Amino acid sequence: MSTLTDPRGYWGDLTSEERGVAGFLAAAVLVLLALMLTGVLNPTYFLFLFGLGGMFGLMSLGLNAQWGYTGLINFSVAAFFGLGAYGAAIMTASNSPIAGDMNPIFGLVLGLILSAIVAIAIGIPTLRLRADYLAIASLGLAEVVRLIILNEGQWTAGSQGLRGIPRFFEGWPVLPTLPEALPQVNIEMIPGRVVTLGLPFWRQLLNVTLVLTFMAGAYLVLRRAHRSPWGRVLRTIRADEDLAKALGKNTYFFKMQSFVLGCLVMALAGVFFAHFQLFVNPGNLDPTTTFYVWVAVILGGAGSNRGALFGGFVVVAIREGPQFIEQLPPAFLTEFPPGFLRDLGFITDDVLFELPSIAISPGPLQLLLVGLLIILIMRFRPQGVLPPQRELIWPDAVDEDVRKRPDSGVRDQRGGDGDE
Amino acid sequence: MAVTEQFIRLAADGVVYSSIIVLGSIGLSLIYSIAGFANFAHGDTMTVGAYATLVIFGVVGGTSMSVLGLPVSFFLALLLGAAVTAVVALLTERLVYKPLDVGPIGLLITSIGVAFVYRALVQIRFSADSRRYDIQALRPIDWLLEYNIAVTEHEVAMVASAIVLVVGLHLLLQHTDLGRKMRATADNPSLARASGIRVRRIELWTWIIGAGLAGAGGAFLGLFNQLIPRMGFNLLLVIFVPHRDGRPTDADPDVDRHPDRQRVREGTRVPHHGRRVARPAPGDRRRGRRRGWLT
Amino acid sequence: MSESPTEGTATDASTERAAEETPGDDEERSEIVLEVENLRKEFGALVAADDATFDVERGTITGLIGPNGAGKSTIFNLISGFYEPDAGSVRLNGDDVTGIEPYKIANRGLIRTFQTPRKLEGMTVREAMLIGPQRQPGESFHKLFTAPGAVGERERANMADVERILEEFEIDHLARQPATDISGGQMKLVELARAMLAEPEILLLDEPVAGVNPTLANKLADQIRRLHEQGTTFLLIEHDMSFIMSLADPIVVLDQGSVLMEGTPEEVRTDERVADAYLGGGGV
Repeated sequence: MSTLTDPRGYWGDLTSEERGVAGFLAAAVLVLLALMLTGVLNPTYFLFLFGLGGMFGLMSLGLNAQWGYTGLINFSVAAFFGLGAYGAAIMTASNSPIAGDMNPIFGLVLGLILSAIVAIAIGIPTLRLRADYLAIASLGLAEVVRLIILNEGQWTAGSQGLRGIPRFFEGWPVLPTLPEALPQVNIEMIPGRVVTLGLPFWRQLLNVTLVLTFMAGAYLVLRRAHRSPWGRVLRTIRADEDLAKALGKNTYFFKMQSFVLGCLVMALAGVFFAHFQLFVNPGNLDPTTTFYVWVAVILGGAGSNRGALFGGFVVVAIREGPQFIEQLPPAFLTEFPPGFLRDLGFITDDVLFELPSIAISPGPLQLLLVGLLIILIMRFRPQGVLPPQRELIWPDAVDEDVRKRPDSGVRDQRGGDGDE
Repeated sequence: MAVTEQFIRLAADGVVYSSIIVLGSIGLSLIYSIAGFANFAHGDTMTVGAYATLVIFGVVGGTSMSVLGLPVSFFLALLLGAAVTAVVALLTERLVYKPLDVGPIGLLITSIGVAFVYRALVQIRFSADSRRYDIQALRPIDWLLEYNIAVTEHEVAMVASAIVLVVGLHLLLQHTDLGRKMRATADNPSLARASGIRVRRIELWTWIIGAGLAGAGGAFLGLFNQLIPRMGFNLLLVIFVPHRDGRPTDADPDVDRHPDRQRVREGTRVPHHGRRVARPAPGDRRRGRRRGWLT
Repeated sequence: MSESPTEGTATDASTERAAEETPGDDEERSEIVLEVENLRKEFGALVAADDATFDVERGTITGLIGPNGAGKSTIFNLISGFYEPDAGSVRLNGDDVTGIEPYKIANRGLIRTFQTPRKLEGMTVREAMLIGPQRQPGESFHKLFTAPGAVGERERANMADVERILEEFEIDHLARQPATDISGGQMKLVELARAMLAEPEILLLDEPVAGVNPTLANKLADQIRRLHEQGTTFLLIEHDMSFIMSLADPIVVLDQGSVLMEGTPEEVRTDERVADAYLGGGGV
């Protein structure tokens, strides 16, 4: 709101980090627009990437509600994402062994219920214990969920995956046929390079709308929950759980709520994914996804919802970046060992290391980038790019014109709580 | 009785396999108690040990003299590989963990980054394909087969080496000055520091010992099975993941599609005993995987 | 206010009982807030609490002293539910609370502070203060969405409480400081103020003036007296003898995990056993 009514004042209120990120985002949008309008980047592909970014943004929001708010270490982000995706797919896919061809809303509900049940099941034994126990248990859980989906073919179609998933708006009024109805638009910024916005573009735009809706919904719920007494208790637990207990907070229950809430948001990302890619298979539960989401949250700044969203989009850039590198191999990747590794002294020309030259596949390069990024963030900016700024106080209560209560000691209030 | 036979087989395999796990988990808990964080890079440290041993053994080559079916030079390579692993861990500690100003959880997360870097470098260097040591696979020892125990001399060597290393560590911890200081530091670092122990030195020794054992464990894992860049990370999961009842094997269609496991299948060791192939190895049971990196 | 009526009345009733000293069956119950009976806790070979028995009467400032390693902090942890006793019992207002969870004990009106002030990373002082009030509607997730009005109303009320109590403690200028940036002494004041916001019946303070400069220590003592006059019962551990002798009555002396004696400051000061314990066991 304030952005619209008082843009200059809003800008003035921003911290230098926020300005930096805002500037970075503006530059990124401009560059991407320029790339699209000149036909270098396919607009439909851009929307695809944006959808992917939104999906990662959602997962980061979910993890932020666990790690950023409460300090819960969840290493099964991919599993909860997978449960959402499979929940959606089981209800809607044409080859689903148990349900299938139902309205996507049922898939959404099933995905959320599945993830909530699994979250509670893993939370009950681990949330009473120290933080590392959830970390270790969730690391195992990710594998267990993947194997169950892989092996229980009578429910999940196993490794074949589930196909024929409809788009999310199938069965809704107007929306399913809207992309067909929209006209094809040709943009010719540079003579001879026509950028066409046709059916695939409009379809993808509808997907992006969906993910933006999910994101906005999750963001609004999480923001309200965070800037509240509830979020404040979570922050206390993160800082010092014993203190929260000593002040009468049922920390186990709070941790459970935070954990389940985060898992629901991750499952939401999975539901979107099922209707985005239109098929799912067990490969989608790749545990590396979990670590990408961790990078997103740490990069963005644990505890900051905006940071989590920002991190989600940056991570997609990291993920997709190496693929571009593979398409246009720069000099340092065509030779092996690559020059930059030679410079580090990791690889010498010693006989020991004489191997036939091989190209680096994007897999290990991504892994290396993610690994280095984690180390560098923890070293140089452990609080992330956009660390949380706000006090967790219900927004109404921090207005300047706080209603003054009668000037009396706290003790005097005790008997008279009823008339507050 | 069939049940007893099955039990004996599993127990024998379990002993061999646990000896590898023990080498990994000792280091994990040493580092946990003295450096103060759960080191998620520990599995990949084992990978480093396995590949370091591979490179060194490749240079040294096989010797005619052998102990329990293993060339003496393999033991040499293994020791050097463990030393290389210790050096890698020390460098990591110095360059990555030491300068950090974050709590144990921050260190845990950093160690994931370290794990990725190790694995990525191994994979860039050696590709994701499986490799094995240039050592002839052996048949199980004949006279033990009469008791339904299918164990090769290599496996005996692994168990024996693991026992030597574990006993050695025990003696070190119980009866040497370094060991006493390590225990004191693990109990109460600030008290240890106050009483004049140079805690920093103890920490470095912890990394050396922990990573050295992990390196040896990694080499044995490579010998027991084969080397792939994910081997250590997978083992980390095994150490952490509790039992899940494996069910009788039926075809796991994903095996043929998953690149990692496809390689595993291609690199499957020579079936030296009919029944051995048919039953799930204990590791598979632990991970609930029908056919995996151990068979 | 949307505070649940049953909890409200329970608190009110006990307060009234205390204030009016209701005669009858309840008399004894209302006189003694905390009964510690034969508490025992072992850590391996070390017996940290050895059949410790004492009572805390309502309206007192009871001191708990003893040489280093006498088990004072262990007793606190046992009372407040952070440790589970190996034997013995703790009764709060006559109810057995032995071994129940710390938050439940806190909900029953026993609030404790910690020896080393707990740093709340990423929070301002007033934010950290706002954790004190009990049973906030805004702490239940669904009410944030179903009853935002009630949440906001209570939050404003709590904010006003925070501001007032910070003024009373003369640290209102710190309200918007990061909770990690204030001095140790100020931290102790904040902890005491926050604990008061929880409206405890009995407040356990673990070394409230350890590491605090004399000016602030006097201020803390004044606050404790003021709160005591308003009706709060205190149980406090302190090493600073002059501080505790001037503040507490009665004083319980612990030695090697069990109660050595109990009495007025004067009795404690003149008791030979106490002197022996401090001279003999205090060399740790």
